[in-house]
Amino acid sequence: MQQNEKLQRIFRDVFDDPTIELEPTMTADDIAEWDSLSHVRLMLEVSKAFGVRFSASEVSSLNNVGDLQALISSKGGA
Amino acid sequence: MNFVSLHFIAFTLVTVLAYQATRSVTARQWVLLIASAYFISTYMLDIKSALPLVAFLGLGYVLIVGMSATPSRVYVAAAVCLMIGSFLYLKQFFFLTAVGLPFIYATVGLSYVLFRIISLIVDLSNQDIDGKPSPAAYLAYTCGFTTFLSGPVQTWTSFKSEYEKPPAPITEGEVLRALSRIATGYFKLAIVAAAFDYLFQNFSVQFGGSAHGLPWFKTVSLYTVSAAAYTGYLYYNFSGYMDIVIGIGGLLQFKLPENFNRPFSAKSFLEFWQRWHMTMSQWFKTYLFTPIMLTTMQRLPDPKHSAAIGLFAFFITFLVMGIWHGSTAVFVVYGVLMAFGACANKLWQIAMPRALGKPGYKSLQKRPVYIQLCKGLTFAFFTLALTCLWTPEIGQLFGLAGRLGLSGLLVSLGALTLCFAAVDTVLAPVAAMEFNALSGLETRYRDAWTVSRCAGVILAVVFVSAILNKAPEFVYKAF
Amino acid sequence: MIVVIRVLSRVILLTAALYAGVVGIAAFLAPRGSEARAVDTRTAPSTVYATATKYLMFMQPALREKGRRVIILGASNADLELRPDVIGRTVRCATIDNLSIGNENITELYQTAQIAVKNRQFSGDTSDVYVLGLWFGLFGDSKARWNGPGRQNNESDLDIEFQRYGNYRKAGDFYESRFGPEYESVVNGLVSPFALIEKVFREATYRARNFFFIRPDSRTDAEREAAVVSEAERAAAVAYWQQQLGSREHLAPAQFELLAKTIKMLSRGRNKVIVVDLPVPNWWDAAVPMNREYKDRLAALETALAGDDAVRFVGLSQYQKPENFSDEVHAKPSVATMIGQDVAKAINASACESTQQTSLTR
Repeated sequence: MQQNEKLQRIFRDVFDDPTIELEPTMTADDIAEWDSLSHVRLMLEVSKAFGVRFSASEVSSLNNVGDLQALISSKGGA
Repeated sequence: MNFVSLHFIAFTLVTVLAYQATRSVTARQWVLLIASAYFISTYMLDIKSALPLVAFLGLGYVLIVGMSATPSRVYVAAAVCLMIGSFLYLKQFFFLTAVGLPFIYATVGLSYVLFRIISLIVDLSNQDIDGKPSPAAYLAYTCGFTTFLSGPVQTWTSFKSEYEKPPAPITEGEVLRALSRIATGYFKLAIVAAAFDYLFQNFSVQFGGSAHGLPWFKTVSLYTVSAAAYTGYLYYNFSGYMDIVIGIGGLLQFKLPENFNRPFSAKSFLEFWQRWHMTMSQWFKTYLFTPIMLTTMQRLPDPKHSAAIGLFAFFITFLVMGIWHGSTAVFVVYGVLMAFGACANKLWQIAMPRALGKPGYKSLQKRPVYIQLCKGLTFAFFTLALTCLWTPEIGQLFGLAGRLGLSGLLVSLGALTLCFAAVDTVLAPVAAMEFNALSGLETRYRDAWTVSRCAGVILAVVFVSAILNKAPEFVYKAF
Repeated sequence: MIVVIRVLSRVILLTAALYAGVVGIAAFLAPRGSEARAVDTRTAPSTVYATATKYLMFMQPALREKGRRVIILGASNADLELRPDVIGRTVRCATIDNLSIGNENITELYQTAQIAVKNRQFSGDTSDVYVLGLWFGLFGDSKARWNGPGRQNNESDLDIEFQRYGNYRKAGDFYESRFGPEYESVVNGLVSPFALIEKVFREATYRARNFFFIRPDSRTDAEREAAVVSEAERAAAVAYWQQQLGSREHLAPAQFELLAKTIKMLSRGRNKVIVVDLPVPNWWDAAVPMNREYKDRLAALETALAGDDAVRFVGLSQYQKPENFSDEVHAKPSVATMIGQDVAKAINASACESTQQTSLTR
């Protein structure tokens, strides 16, 4: 499965919304349930799914989905 | 060094000119270091009073340099605890007043130095930073004069990119934008905040101290107005100071992060803290809230525990953030109030979709009356909680609460909510119109307007300071 | 760097131009000390200077004019009871100046006396009459009287005023113009915008401040004439003055020493001093021991100065009945006029009749 599809499936699971379509510019403002709690849960799920580890700094400093995709790639996530 | 003083103006001018006089990165770094050392020295009584700060910085650097490439969790935890313990000792938190150092020393800026050292330790251990800082860079990062007193708390990565970037000639536009920002800062600090402080002093004296025979309603009214005035004073004092330091950063072509983003437009207490003192909130989110969440969620991965974990993490984070503000018991109350506000807000956000359904809650959130009431309540709760900052003794705080009673506090909360909501309904569109009008000005008129505004602010600050017969102090350097 | 200097220069030039504009407006609106015949601190609120202390600082040139003067010093009761217009009906041989400042103690009275003496020196050898209107409330220690934010060295209101704009610097135990007397009017003119701006601010916020913050004595003359001081008001006055004086029972001896020093300074040369013991309601004698202490010390001072022809003491104990006062210290308007007339007779005897002078011109 492509990284983007995998990530999209995680987003749809975490936010319980099957209509989510990821764009690199998407931010927390675009998804109503995306708050600080669900953000941490999202990062844990991404971490498990892609076999990568995120530091607290990385978890807190992401600005949009594009940043997340780039971070996963930089850590060799598959 | 008072920000509204010829001394500070002269210091800033000399530093900016010396900085801009050279195209060498190293020379500019030295200018910043020397300027910062001089700036900090003006807060010290003598060399002895500076020793604790020097020792604190030295300890931080030793812990950073002593860290291996892949340090153990024990080392990192011990290093962070050692820095926090040293901080609590030097700031004489609670019972530690009995075992203090036997001489007077300055603790100004220590809280923010601690933030930066902890972030360096943790980010290095997580390999979020490449390479350890040199001693000069470390000192410039922890003690830079623009951010020493009260932030903004800049990340090492952001600081490094500014610190090491090759110089480019400064343009007139950059100078004007920076001066405009500085003028805004002085207007807020020396005029608006000073006016709010004047109101606060004159209202609060009428119900404090010996004025215990006042009727209940008058006490509540005076308290409510005093509390609102203090909030205005704190916001304009702190955000004014931020405008000044960010503007000075602009003259040095050194970009600093923003610390305020229209906090009173927040529609919830949690959103408020994303707009107020943003760099500090971000720091606590990164180094306390997120680690608590990550660790606890890893132990309890079931999503049904998310809400409880979130409430726990919010409670601890806001409690610590509140207590950080001061070393006496009254700040524990402040922390508890902050924690209560955050948790209550979160519970509301969890409960409302369950009660109304997601579409129903989304629809409610779009209603203007609901939005204004939320803004008003956020302002009101924060304002009442700030009482802890202007009644420094816990006995006084409880005494005041006793005089007001629960009914008085609720009346106060309600009055502040409704008044704020009403005022915001009128003023917010006006402010938006003004902003649009100004940004529509042509560049040449905008430049002339900036020069005029700066000149006007200089005169206004000088006159108001003379009328009020005091130069305003920066209130947040006490925290 | 050049870019920064260029932009800053534009800002500074525009600031200077705007300031010069405000200086012009202030110069147009402000009364000129060199053009005034007499100084009366009571008129301060109706001028651009607003307060008695600021008015006195800027109006010093008015005291330099040649010609004989009667100069009144004291606090608010002297201001009320020794009115220049009342005294001037009897005393025709001198210009009457009122330098009274409300709420002062002897320290500030001494400073006011220094202002008078220093400025009168400009008019050469003088034969002025200084009238000191005293009561026990002037004899509180400066540490109790002048404290709070901005008063680390117990600065009086006059100290605060002279230090406010930087146009004066400390010289000895008082102040001189920062760049010398020859540039005093220029320097004072340059700082006069501050007085103008402060006056505008005061006028603009007068109603709001009175409603929310202050409760000034805004009674009319008719209301003061009809006032009866209640027991509760007496008790509140006692508590207030004990706090002002810094003691429940004693006055500050140092203030009496300073009074003696003031009298000695003012009576040099051909000048004369009239020390007026202004009346207060006689219920003070039972309320606090300070009134008795004041009278005893004043009597001792009078005895010590008995051989000095230049100094005269005037008592007004005939006015001590409580019904003569609208509060704990200020006489009712009709009584104030009588007090002024009595003191005027004493001044006339000392100043005009003794020198056979009946008009201001010599």
